[in-house]
Amino acid sequence: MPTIDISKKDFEKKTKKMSIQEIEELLIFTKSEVDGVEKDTIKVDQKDTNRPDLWSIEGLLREIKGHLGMEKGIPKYKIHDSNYKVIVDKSVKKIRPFTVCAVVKGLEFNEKSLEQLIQLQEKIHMTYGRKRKMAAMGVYDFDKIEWPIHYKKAENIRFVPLGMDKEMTPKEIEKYHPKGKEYSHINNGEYTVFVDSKENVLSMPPIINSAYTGEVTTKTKNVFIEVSGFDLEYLMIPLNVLSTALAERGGKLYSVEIDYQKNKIKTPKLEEKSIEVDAKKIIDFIGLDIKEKDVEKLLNKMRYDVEKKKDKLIVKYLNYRNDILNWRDIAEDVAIAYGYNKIKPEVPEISTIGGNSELFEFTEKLKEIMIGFGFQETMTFNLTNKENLFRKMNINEKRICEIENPISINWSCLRNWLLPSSLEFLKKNKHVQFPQKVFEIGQILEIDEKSDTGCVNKEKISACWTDSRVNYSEMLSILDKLFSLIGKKYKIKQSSNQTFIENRRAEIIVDNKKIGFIGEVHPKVLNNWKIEKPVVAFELDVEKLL
Amino acid sequence: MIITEEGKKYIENGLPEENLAELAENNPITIQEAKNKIENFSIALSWAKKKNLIDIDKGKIIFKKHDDSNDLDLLKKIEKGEDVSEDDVEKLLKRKLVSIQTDNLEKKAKKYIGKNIDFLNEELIKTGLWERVKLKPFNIETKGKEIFPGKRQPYQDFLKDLRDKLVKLGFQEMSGPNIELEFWNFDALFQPQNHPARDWTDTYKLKYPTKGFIDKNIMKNVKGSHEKGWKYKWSPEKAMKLMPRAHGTAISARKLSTDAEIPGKYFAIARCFRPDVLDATHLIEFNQIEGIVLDKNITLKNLLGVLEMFAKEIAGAEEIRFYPDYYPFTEPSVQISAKHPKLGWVEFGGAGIFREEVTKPLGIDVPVIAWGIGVDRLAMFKMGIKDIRYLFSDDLKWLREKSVI
Repeated sequence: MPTIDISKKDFEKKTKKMSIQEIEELLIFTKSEVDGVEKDTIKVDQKDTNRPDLWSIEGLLREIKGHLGMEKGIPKYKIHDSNYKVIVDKSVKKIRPFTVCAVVKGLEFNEKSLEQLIQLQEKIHMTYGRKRKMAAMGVYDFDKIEWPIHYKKAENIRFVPLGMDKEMTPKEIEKYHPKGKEYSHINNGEYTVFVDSKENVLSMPPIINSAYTGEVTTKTKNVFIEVSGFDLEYLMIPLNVLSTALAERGGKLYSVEIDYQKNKIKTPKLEEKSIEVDAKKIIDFIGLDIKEKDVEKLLNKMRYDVEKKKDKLIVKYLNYRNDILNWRDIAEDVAIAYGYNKIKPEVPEISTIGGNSELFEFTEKLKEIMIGFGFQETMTFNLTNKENLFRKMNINEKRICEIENPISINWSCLRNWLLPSSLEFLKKNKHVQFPQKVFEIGQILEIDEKSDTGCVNKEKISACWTDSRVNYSEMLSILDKLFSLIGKKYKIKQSSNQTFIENRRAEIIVDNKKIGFIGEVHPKVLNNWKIEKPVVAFELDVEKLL
Repeated sequence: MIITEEGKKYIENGLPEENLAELAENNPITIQEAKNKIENFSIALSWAKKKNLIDIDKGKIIFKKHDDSNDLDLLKKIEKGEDVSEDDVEKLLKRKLVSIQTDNLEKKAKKYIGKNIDFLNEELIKTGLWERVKLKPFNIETKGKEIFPGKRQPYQDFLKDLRDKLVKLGFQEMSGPNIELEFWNFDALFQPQNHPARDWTDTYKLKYPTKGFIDKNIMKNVKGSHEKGWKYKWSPEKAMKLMPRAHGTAISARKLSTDAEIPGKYFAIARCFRPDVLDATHLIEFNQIEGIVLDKNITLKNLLGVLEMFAKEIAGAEEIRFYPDYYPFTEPSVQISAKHPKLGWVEFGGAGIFREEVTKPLGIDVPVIAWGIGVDRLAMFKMGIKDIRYLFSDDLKWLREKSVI
């Protein structure tokens, strides 16, 4: 979700004087909310990651003017024809094949509007541009450019990149320039450049502009804009967003011819797109009691033009938006324009029978029994590490679910049994009054190639009892009573688990299957955990008890 | 000397060995039959043999003679308080039909007579001599050693309350795996594969196992939905990668693709995983409450109705506000803020109506309203804690002492 800074003064200049609360209310129409205010700066959370046209004050105001009644329907922008030309060399084909461009003249930048321009560029780079890979844009001082511009593979090129004071080769930029280090991986060692007819480098997309043409200041009056990437259609949106934002600032738009040798295109191409919707369906879908005429009015506020066609509406919008896939998107805008909080909430009358899963209901029974035995319930994390699961438990490693990008080695695996979590709990409570009896009913993960996720969740119950003196038989009494209370038969069988003391450990068998274990924890394991009193424990597979 | 419970029973019903002999008197009977008819069969059998009242042949009991001992008469005499010889007493003592414990009790109890004592005891109560002792006054403010009952974990308890409310509202539980395919976490929810939210730092990836599998038909549908809607080449390999579930909506997507009924209401309490450092305000794992309602006539107005009901029922909200929001998988999307009496305005959760690009590939043709609610802050408030780590507390003392109200 992009967060953008806007100036309150700037906002008011284009609208009217108002309080932060009033601005806040208006921003709701743009899926934005105020996240903080510092002096003149309002921090705005823009929630729609699919609406780059809303990531600048110009874009936000375009919408808000519709709700203030200052403008309505599709905004009008004129594109002047021109002779400006960008010639695309075929050498770029395998590196970064496409570009679309525009020229905007007659701008009067101040600090605020310049900040907006840079901010919009950054937000588009990060989100829509997928960190500049899919779309990267550059803005240049038009008056320093000698036309036509060439877009070609970078060969024998040196230029002064923005932020440096000496000429560098692409390789040097890759190595030493902060932007080079950050973005070079996109290109795999080959680069493209925009150069003008005096061989002045404009930029090396998507990495860095030149210091000479690629710096825009408050003195800049006219700009050249380019967007580069891999899919021509995909590049149109950011170009349209940026050029219309500048047009909102009073700039005059000029087209640029992009010469792809085989074919030529003129950009920016601002076109009306349309979608056919059923007004009645939209009204019903939202649950409103309004007329078709009202839907039209609401859509006009959201900067759509609407035309009637028999019993349908043709809803038109300008192609700085690309988020409209079907009638639902239009329905949402009708609801937003109407105001979510004006819609009267109504609980649907759908009668269904509620219920917990059988497994959960069963764990509740187990819980009740364990609590009856005086055990305190605990709840621990699924994330843990191999040290806890294996080494400290005195057993060999097994294949378990491991995290590729852990934040900390402590949380780098998902547990495959519960007992280590319980022992870790006991370790942390050495100085708390004894006896300590704790249990947990929780999930673990086991590798299972037959499962669609390569592993399966299992619900386990583990119980520990620790005191100056505890022993196997006492815990077996508890286990035995647990089984008898849930009406289940079990057998016990000698086991060879190294976690427990020999001859004081057993596997628990139900229907000829191992479903858990019971035992006195081996002193070696207690030492590993720095636990000072004997512990007797059991762990069972809950689903097998059902 | 007193007659034991066993002795009393024989006075009433006769000696079991004699009863057994009588039973077999006319016709030999099988052991099984006798077992069913005679109480204390094993006692009856052993004494009948000892007294030579019966014989056993091929599993049948054969009558030999009636009991000619005076055991029953002796018991009756003792009951009436008549004197019997020491040899006779010895015989009954051995068979535990009488006991001379009372004499000991009385002896013990007599020691206390006229004294001030700390504790009332069994001897005094049984002999009735408690009337002749004095019990010392206790300091009624003095407690014994601190004791701890077994108890529910407070956060689990909170989640249980939420479940109860949801179940009352007619919601059925659904569940899903903690390790999830990217497909269910993202793709089925119409999140493009090159979307920044799928990026490395926002979610965990799995090192092992790395790959799962997906139903071919569903995969084909979702691929179509992505390539048409987002205009890029969808990769099945990426969708088959595994990750710890990052949000509960993955469970809803799975439910829609399998056995969701129309109309239907479902909920899940989903453990979710996102890379975060564990500290007072962040957890490495958290729980989300996820819900969906399917119905052919469901509307945005209904979604708002359900959310309002939740905010009031679950969060105890006094007031609520809805805000337009954005999720790739819902259109319209709603954020709900609830005014809590103590916490003030709290962002309560995200909701919306699933996009047709989500529901249609999963085979659902009706609108589905959906929401995901992070409950940690509410739980913290309910539990009266400031440090979020206490939701998963490893402090036994605190767990023991935490009030259950």
